Amino acid sequence: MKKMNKKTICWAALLALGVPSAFAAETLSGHDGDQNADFPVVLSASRLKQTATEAPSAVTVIDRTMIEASGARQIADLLRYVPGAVVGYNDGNWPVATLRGMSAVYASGVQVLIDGVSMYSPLWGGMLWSEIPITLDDIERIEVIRGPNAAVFGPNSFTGVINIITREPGAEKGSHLSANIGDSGVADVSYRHAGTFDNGLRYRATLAQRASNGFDTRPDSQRYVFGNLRAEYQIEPTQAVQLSARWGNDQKDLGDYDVRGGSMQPHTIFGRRFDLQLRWTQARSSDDELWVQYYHQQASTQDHVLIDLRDRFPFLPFSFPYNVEIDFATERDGVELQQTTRWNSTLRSVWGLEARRDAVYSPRLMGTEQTQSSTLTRGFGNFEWHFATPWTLHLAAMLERNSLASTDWSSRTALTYEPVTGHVLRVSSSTALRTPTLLEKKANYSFSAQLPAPFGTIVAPIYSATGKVDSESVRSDEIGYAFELPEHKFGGDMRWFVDHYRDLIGQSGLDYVNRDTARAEGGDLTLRWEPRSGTLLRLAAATTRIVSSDDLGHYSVSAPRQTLSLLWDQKIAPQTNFSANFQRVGKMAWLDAGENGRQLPAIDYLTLKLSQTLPMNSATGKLSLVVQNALGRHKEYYAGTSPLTVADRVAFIQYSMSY
Amino acid sequence: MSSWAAEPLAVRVVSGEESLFVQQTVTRIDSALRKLGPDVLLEPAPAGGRRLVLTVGARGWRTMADAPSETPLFAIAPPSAALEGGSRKGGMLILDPPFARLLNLAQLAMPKRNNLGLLSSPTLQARLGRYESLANDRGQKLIVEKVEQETEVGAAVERLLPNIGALLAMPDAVTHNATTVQPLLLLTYRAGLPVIGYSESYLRAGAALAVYSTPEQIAQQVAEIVSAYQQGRALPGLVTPKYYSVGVNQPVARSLGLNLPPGEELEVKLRQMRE
Repeated sequence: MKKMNKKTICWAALLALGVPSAFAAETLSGHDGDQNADFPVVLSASRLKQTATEAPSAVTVIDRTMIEASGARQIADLLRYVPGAVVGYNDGNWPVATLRGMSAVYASGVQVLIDGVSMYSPLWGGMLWSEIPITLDDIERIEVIRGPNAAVFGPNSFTGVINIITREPGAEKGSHLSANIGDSGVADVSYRHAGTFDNGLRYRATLAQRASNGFDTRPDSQRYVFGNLRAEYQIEPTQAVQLSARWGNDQKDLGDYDVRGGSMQPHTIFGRRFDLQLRWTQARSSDDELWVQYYHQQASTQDHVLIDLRDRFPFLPFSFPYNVEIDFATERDGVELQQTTRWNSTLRSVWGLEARRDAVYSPRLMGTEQTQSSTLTRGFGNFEWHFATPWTLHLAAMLERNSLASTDWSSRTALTYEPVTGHVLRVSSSTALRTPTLLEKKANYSFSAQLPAPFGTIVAPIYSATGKVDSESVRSDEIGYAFELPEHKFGGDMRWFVDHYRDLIGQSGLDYVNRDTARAEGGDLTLRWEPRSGTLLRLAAATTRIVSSDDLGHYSVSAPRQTLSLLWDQKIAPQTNFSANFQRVGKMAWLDAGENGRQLPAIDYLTLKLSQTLPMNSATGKLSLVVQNALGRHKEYYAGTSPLTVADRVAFIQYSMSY
Repeated sequence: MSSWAAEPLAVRVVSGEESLFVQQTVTRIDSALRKLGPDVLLEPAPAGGRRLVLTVGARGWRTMADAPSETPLFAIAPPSAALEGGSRKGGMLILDPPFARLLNLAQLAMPKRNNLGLLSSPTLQARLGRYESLANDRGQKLIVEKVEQETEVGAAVERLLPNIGALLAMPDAVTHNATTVQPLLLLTYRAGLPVIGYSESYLRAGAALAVYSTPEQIAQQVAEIVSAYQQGRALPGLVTPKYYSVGVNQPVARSLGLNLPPGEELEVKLRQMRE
């Protein structure tokens, strides 16, 4: 008996230290018929969904039902569900998204994560939405935090956080084939397979292509071929290791039919990317988790167009071929750690550390053959203290050291009050910083051409950053209310906020400087109701008003006064489903729209989808008809340097099969 | 202490190296039996006299089941093979909660969710009729999906999802094991449905609620059985846990939009309900 006791203590100690024990593999197989075998912690802290009534910030969750009902082909289009968000198309295959205005084509200041890893571009600071190597089918849900949340989510969480969570390999099995064929040369195909090896390694792998000819007014055809893999291995009940790898190969047309002799002369660009994430997790319960991860991303774009300088400078007596080359390559490497601990029934904490290196190689944009890089280290702590029954205090702070800016703090304080179950009032105040991108800090972008005598060298400088630029800052205050009435399947949330922005970065001459201030004030309301089984109604409305110095950027017209998003998902027969998705966005102008603050008119965007499930012998099929932009032609939100970007109705058939 | 001098009983506890739960149960039984001394003695004991063998867990049972012996055997948490009748005299305590206990808990914690799902493996088949009538008695509807092998669990759960308000888990090696809980919990969670489990391990894994017996509670019941046997009563043929606890996984429950009171509160109310 004494021997047994010692072994029990030993086992418990090993478990506490997280060291794999000798007989772990045998207990895991569970084939002994021992119903008391230790189960792995499946719903660990990082796998739990954020809910509007629990979170200390305004959260929008886009789940699978909403993804299916959206009729979208591009991930960016899913953001139409977020109140206040605007999705514009710079060209037919270049979606641009902003959470609350004040954005340009590379909308920086939004932290975009895939499975907890920052994916925004190290060079531009914004997210390249059409070059994400995952399909809509690979997504489990998207959690969007509206408002600054740097204290918890780290760098670039300036106007919000978008966390794209992909499907767990453990939840999938078998193969799934899907294809979209239709107007505008829409030709998408994807194949996904999930399974488990004998040793318990689970995986989900996808191979896909997304292709379309875009808008007929622009040369913007794209063919994006990509693949991803997510694998997970449970070492023992409390420890697992996860690997994610993604790659993409892009071929896209760019330009304006009316332009000759400039970088917007129609041409094709090529891009490739590769992402890797390795994570080790120790989860003892749904409230007790430690993970450590390493990530690596590399991307490169080749953008060459052969022009005739004579088209640009008509005074030249002869043709002068010139290769306009704007190539760039970026890389990101980082290690990160995060621990969630529940101390007692009233106190829970999350703390973490991150060290990252971003690098850019672009002789064109940086004016040097040398790789330009920046490093970042940050540490954060978040406490959740349930100090009295209906009250919870959330305190979070982050310290960031970034080689591109001064070291500084971000913090977030929130107080929630739940007087009646299912009704939560929230008051919060947060500060955040947006550190300059590598482009804003170190750009040295110009073109030069050596012409024969008597003409000399032509130099066209575009950016020449002195490097004096520092971080933008924001202070946000908001009051919110969220409620859930599960018996009536009715829930929603609303908030009112005031954000004060300072030191906004803009282009002054050839340099990037901190200049503008802005005050954004607004509110949003989201309601979700399932009046009866088979019917889902959702409304997301927002109003925003921005007042700004408008010195280097026309911030005051960069957010629509009102946005409205409506969803109606309806089961019309046991195997048939219909959904209608409407979005209305008021007039606004993107920051780098070359028309100097002239706003584009309001846009109404309607997508309709009709699906029929086709049960087959050992498989399930689904046939759908989707009409995007059903209301027809409209001038698209992004005007760039005023090419004519007109979006038309696009209809396509979607066929998918699971077996 | 007995009022008349019944013969002391020598007890031997047999178990294999298994889960932490089995280890802890053995430790607790050991200390609970020691408190019964000198009427109950633990091995090594003098030869002759009454003997009893206790097995804990599947491995312990397998070690002793095939060994021909006259010594009565009381099995605690044996594998399902033990139910196929034995040639040895004895009894068993299986850790399956009575099905009615799970139904009662569902009714207590989520009274509006009347459609309850259940995965049924070949071993559970025989009891389905009785389970269905127990559910009907409580105004609940039992929706069952049959599963032959563990690889079918994911697909079976997906078929259940649109029709149920919660999933009940009854112990069964085919449907609920370390491999199947992954798809089971992930798929039910995705659909916003809670799982009511039967062990602390299941609770930690992600079941929103669980009714289970802790090693202390099992040891307490075993000590009572052993003491009664020592005093001359027969070993019970087949018993289910008498003492139990209710656990709530608050992070999971809140994340599913369920507002559940602490486990202790539910436990008090559950004990008052008819099983």
